[in-house]
Amino acid sequence: MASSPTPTSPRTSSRRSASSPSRRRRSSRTIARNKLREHLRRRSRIAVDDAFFDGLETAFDDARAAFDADARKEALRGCLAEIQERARQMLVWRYEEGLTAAAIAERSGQSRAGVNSLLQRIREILRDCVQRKAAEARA
Amino acid sequence: MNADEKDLLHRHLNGDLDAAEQAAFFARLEASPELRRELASLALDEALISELVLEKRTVAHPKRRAWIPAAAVAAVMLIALTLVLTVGRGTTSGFRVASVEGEARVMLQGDSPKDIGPGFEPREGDILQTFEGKAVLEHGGTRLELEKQSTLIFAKPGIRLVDGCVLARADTRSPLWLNTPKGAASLESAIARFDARRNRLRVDVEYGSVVLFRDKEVRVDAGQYAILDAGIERGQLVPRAKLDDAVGRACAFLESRRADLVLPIVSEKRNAPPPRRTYAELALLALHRAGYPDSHPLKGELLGQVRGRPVESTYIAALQAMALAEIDPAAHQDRIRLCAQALCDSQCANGQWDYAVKPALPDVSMTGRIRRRAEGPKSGDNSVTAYAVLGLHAAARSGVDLDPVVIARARAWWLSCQNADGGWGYNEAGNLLANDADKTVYTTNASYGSATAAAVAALVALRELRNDEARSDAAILNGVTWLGANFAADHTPRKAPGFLPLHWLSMAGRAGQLLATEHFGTHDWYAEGADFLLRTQHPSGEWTAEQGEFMRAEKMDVLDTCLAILFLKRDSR
Repeated sequence: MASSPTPTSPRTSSRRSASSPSRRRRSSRTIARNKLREHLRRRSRIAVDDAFFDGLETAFDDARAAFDADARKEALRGCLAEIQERARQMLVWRYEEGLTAAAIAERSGQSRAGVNSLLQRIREILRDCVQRKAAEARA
Repeated sequence: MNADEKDLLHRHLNGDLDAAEQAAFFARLEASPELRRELASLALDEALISELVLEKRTVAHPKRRAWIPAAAVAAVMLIALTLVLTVGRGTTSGFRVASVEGEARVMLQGDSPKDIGPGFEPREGDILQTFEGKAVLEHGGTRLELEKQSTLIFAKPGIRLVDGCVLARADTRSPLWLNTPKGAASLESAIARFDARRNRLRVDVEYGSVVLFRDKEVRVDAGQYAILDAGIERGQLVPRAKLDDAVGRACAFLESRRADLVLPIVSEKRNAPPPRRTYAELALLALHRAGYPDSHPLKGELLGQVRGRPVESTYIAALQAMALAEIDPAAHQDRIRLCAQALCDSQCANGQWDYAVKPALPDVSMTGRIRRRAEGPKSGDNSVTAYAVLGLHAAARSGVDLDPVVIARARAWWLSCQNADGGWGYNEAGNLLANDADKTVYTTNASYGSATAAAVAALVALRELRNDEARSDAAILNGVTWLGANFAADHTPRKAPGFLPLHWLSMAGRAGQLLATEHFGTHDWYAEGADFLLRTQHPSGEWTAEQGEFMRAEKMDVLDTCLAILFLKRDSR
């Protein structure tokens, strides 16, 4: 039987501070920026400034504004049904299992460059296919 | 965008850049608006492709709206930029496996999976998977309890929950960032449950707060839940301590009535000699939901009873399939297939089911499609028909391939007997014209709560089993509208007070779960139902909500208590 979760008292004060108004005001974008900054600094020793994020956010805002996700998802669904089994397996490894190109290469016995090339080609095929379906829908 | 930039971009998306290349990619990204646009465009597509690939894992779910247009730029951007984070086997994640119950494995990038135990320290890029058991991870004062059959990836920053993953309890003392197929979550100094099954994300916050990222920041505070799906559903949690206490007392009551759980009942007698049945299946499922281990003596006894006697009625077949599919679908696959075969062979000519099943069952093969080999009586009723459909649905979810003819006939029946007001009635013996004037109040064809909830649940289950190109969507929508307009937790809507309210609540709950909604109209069905049950439980642990003369042969306290446990400890699969 599940036990009832009861916060322990010694940590109460620190938990309270986590709910302070200043934390509440932190926007999701600020959090995302800070997370990425921390990661890049620790992993790759890359420093990025606010201008970098401003440029990226503009690009993502623009892309989203021009993006009909429902229609695109349905088109992609159809396109995924058309691709070869080998390509579909690549997508499963990459997106379901989260494998990197190197790990997929080991799994499939291909070269890393070959996997990179194939994943790039799959993206291009899917993009072309979606555009073709969009054109057919308009016609 | 030149060839170098294109190569860097795609290798970034493939998680293939080393630290130096990553720095070069970010420098290019800073300098090139075109590269930023291309990254944004590809990242949005990547999110959709990822969602579609993950959808394939959970077969036959209804199509859902894509969430990307509403997604926070911040979340998509962060995901897009941190794809690199699963490169190779990185530095330590900071987490340590504190305990493993059952079996858990870790997949190291590029290596074969290996079993792990307490003390194992996963690193960035590692994939941790639990099977029939749970695992607990700790990092400083933070503690994560990973449910069975869950997979997560240590992908700094934070952890990625793969679709199907459940963090039964995340008790964090330091900032934790979670990515899921439905979006990201941030928490610090909080206690919460994360359920990333069925292609959605449900977050229950018990302490502190969790911030979810959608088109806007969604803050979920203590005592609240939020579900990210096509939209966002929010509501108040039922206090866990009260639930656990009520369920604990209810189980103690069932244990005190062991003899009645296995007492044969012969109240069903239409179209055939009365088949014997017991409460063993229902009690088994209730105790399982309540968290009883298979090693518990009563659960073990009920499991032995269930598996050891013939499948004699539709209720037995349906409930057995439901119980065994939840307990261990692989271990009980033979019995689940037997139940599925019995149900397929007993479907009435009009698509309904009656109480009796075809008693003689030749060997049922352990592989291949379960095909209908016989015909049941001419007609049955909608109540038992809903159970039959839910039993078949449980069998299908455990991997049984079912005869599409059976599914099509069942669906055609439900669609044919919907009332003009959007609800459903009892339709005993398939009679579409019967009305209150000449029938007892129990079997009216006028719309009422439990029949409508049962019909909605059945139609949604059938749609999940076999897509019907939206042909049942309108019927389901009208049924849900009826439920929203008529919902009441303390009695069966449009029936006299006291008429089988637990049957109504359990069917409403099943419909809500299959629809993946917490609301019928303005009613939070679980919160209202749980509130009613917590108020009406007897001090000795049981419920006796049924007050009429109907079903006099039943042990209503045992039946109601089983149904109440199943409602309170609902199946969230």
